[in-house]
Amino acid sequence: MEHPNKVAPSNVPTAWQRVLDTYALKYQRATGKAFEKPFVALMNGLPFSTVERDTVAEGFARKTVTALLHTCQQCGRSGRRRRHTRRYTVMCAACFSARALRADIAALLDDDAPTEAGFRPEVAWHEHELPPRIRGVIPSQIWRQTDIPGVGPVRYLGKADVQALAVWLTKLACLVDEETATAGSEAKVGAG
Amino acid sequence: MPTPSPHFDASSTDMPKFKVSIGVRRSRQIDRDLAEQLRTIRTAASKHAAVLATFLPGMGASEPVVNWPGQCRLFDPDVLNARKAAARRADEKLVVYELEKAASLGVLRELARAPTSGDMHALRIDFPHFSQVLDLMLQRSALAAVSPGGAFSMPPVLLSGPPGVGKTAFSDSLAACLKVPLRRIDVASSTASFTLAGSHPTWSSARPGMVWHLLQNSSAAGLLLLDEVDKAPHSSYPVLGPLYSLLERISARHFVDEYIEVPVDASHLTWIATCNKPELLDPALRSRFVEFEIPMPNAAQMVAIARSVYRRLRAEAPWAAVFDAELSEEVTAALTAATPREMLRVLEEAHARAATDRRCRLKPQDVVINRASGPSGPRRIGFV
Repeated sequence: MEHPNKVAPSNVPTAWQRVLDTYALKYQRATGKAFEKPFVALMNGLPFSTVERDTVAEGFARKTVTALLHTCQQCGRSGRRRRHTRRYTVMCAACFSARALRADIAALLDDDAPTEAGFRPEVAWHEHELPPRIRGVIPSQIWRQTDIPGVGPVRYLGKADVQALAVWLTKLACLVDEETATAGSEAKVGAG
Repeated sequence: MPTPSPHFDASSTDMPKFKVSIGVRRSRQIDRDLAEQLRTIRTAASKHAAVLATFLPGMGASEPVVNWPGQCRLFDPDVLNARKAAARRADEKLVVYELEKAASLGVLRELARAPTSGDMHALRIDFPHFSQVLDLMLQRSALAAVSPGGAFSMPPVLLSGPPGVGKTAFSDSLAACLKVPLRRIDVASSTASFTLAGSHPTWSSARPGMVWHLLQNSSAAGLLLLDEVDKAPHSSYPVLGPLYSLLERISARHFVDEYIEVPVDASHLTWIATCNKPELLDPALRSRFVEFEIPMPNAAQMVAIARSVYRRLRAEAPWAAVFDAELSEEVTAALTAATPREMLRVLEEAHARAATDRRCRLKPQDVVINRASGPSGPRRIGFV
C-alpha cells in the first residue's frame, strides 16, 4: 500500500510523523483517497492546517493539528506547547527537562556575566534565587551556608561556585537527554 | 449581532470566580509539570551519580561557614544548643527563653557602619567642643572605608571634664549617628558587677547582664555608656570588674555572661565612659580607654550649642512651634552663661515665661540662670 502521507514535510519530528500517518490513513479509509499535498505545515515549530475548501479534509487536518499540539514530538507521549529559544516545541515534561535545564544553566551563567557598564549585579545566589530545576538537584554538600541577622540560616552559591558547577550541570543535562531519548525510543517501540 | 463571550471580556467583573479558577488550574498544571521535570532530572542524576561525581567540584559545606562582610559571628550554635538542653533539664526557663531569642536572631550580627559625612557635620555643629573625639571618629571612618564591608569600630573612649559639658548628650547623639542601640549604665547608682555581666543562675533574682542584653539585636556593635565611672561605689562585687576583660579585644571575644554561660563575641561593642575626675579611676582600667578631656566650650562654641539645643527643643516640644524658629542674638548671648546641660531647662523656663506674658518671641530677660549649686558649692541647710 502506498504511503498515505508521502508528501508530508520532511522536517517533521519522528514522533509526529506517526500521528500524521495515522490521520492520513484514517482520511484515506474514510474517503477512499489520499491527501495530494501536505495537509499540515510547521511554522516556528508549531503545526497548522493547510487545507482549504474541503470540509472533510479540513476537519481531518484540524484534528491532526490538535493531536500534534498534544503529542510530545520526541517520545510521542502526551505533551504540551512550550517555548524554547524563541521557538515553540510540543513536548512532555520529561523530554523537555534536559532542554529546560540547559536553558537554566545558560541563563544563570549569563546572569553572572558583567553588564555593558562592567558592573556585576550579583556576587552570590540565595537558594531561592536559583531556578528550581538547578536548585532541586544540587547535592547538599555543595551548598555554602551562612546566617543572616534577622533571617536565620541560608544556603547560597557564590559566583565561582556556579562557574565550577556549570560543567557538572552540563554533564547532567547530557545524561538527562540520553535518558529521555532512551525512554522515548522504548515508548515508540512499545507503541509500535 | 452576537455578543462577545463574558469569559473573554477583560472588563467584565461579574465572573471573577471563573477567572480565578483558570489561574489556579494553570498554576497547578505548571507545578505538576515542573515536578515531573525535576523528577526526570533527579532520576538521571541518581542513576549516573558515579559519573557525575567526577565532575563535582570540591566546595560547600565541607568548608567553614563564611561571614558576610561587615558582620561578625556572635556565638557558636553548638555551644548554645548544648547550654539550652542543659537549661531545659534544669528547668531554667529564663535561660531557655534568652537562648531561644539569641538563636532566632541568628549567629551573625551586623557591625557598625561609618557615619555619613552629613551626620559627622551635624555632630560637629551640635558639639563643637568635642572636636578631638570627632577627629578620632573621622580617622576611624577612613579606616572603615578601606575595610571589607565598611565595618566601623572605635576604641573605648573616656570623656572627662567638668559637669554639664554635654558628655552624656554626645554619647546619645553618637549612638544615633552610628545607628546602633544604646544602653546606659549609671555606675554611681549600680550596686554590683551583676549589672554588666549577669549573676549566676543559683541566685534567686539572677538575670543576664547589660552586655548580653545589648547583643540581643541585629547589631553586635551596640554602644554602652558608662556614666560617671569615677563615682563607682566600693563593693565586694565591683561594678567595673568585668570591664577589665571586656575592654580588651582578645578577652572580649569570648565574654561569658555568668547567667547565660555561653561565650559571645563582645569585642565589637562601642564603649564610652564619662567622668569628672579621671584620676579617681584605677590606673589599670584607665589605661584601657582612650582619654579625652572635654573643655568647657568657649563663647563662640556656646552660641553654636545654644542654637543646637534650641533646634532640638523645637523638634521635641509640641508647644515650640508657636515660637520663633531662631533665637535672637540677645537671647543667645544670655544663654551662653549657662552650661550645655542647663541650657535645655533654662530655655524651657524662658518659653514658659514668654507664654505667661502671651508672647511668641523670647526676650533676654526671660533667660534666667538660677543655679541650685553655684561655684561656691552646695548651699548648706541648717546652722552655718
